[in-house]
Amino acid sequence: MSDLANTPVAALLELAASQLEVAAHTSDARVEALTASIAALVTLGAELQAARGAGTAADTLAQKIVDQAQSALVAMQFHDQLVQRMAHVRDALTELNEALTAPMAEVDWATVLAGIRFRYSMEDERMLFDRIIGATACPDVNRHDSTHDSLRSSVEIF
Amino acid sequence: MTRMIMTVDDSTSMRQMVKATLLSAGYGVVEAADGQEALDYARDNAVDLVIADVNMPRMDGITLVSELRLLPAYRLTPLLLLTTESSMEKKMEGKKAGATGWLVKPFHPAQLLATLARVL
Repeated sequence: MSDLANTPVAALLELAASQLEVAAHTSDARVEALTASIAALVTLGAELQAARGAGTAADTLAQKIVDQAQSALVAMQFHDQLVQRMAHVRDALTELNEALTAPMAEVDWATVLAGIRFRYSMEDERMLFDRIIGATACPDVNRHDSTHDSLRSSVEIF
Repeated sequence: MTRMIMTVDDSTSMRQMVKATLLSAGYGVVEAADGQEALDYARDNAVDLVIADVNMPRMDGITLVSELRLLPAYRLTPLLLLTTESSMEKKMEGKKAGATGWLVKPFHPAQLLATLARVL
């Protein structure tokens, strides 16, 4: 049996693969929305040209263009999240690589895992980590019930 | 008089999107790429509101909020954190530091502008 059998290395690699899959899947959905919005903007621009001088029709089309532009702006933000997700995978692999330079028996896995989890900036990253690595792997980390996080308002005034 | 908003984010594309939203509503915009750059600007210049990311190099958004609250000119200025973070712990950290509100990315332009109208 390999020296790695009693370490979280395999789980960490599975986590990295799952994180990349989430990043790609999330980005795909946003790019589809972005593409649809841009396509709609092109169509609406052509319709606006045709409707020039028609009064209310032009106003309605102008509003539709603003709405589609705003949808595109929301979808474009996938890039910021994608960059963060990739950076966290890169950092985790770097930490793993550094940890493996020490003799296997001397690696403090709880510290390595806590360091990787600490860097996350999105709740779904922490949930994925806890599911694959196991919430008990780094017991010192503060946790909370994140079951309802997605239901919380995206705007909160204190 | 045009109200000045400072957008603080290490992502150029995010700053551009916030800037485009704010300009469309008639606000003036100043940009900073991290908390330190924002703090340096704020020491010598007044802005009416700050929208800052949380995770940034050099100085994060929560530290920026704490530092700005120490400046007399920024004691009452609305300071919003706009971030991918949605955990309650982080939100409470932001509130404790003195943030006015917390917005989770991705933001919708209409929602951002409604929030600004509410706190300005």
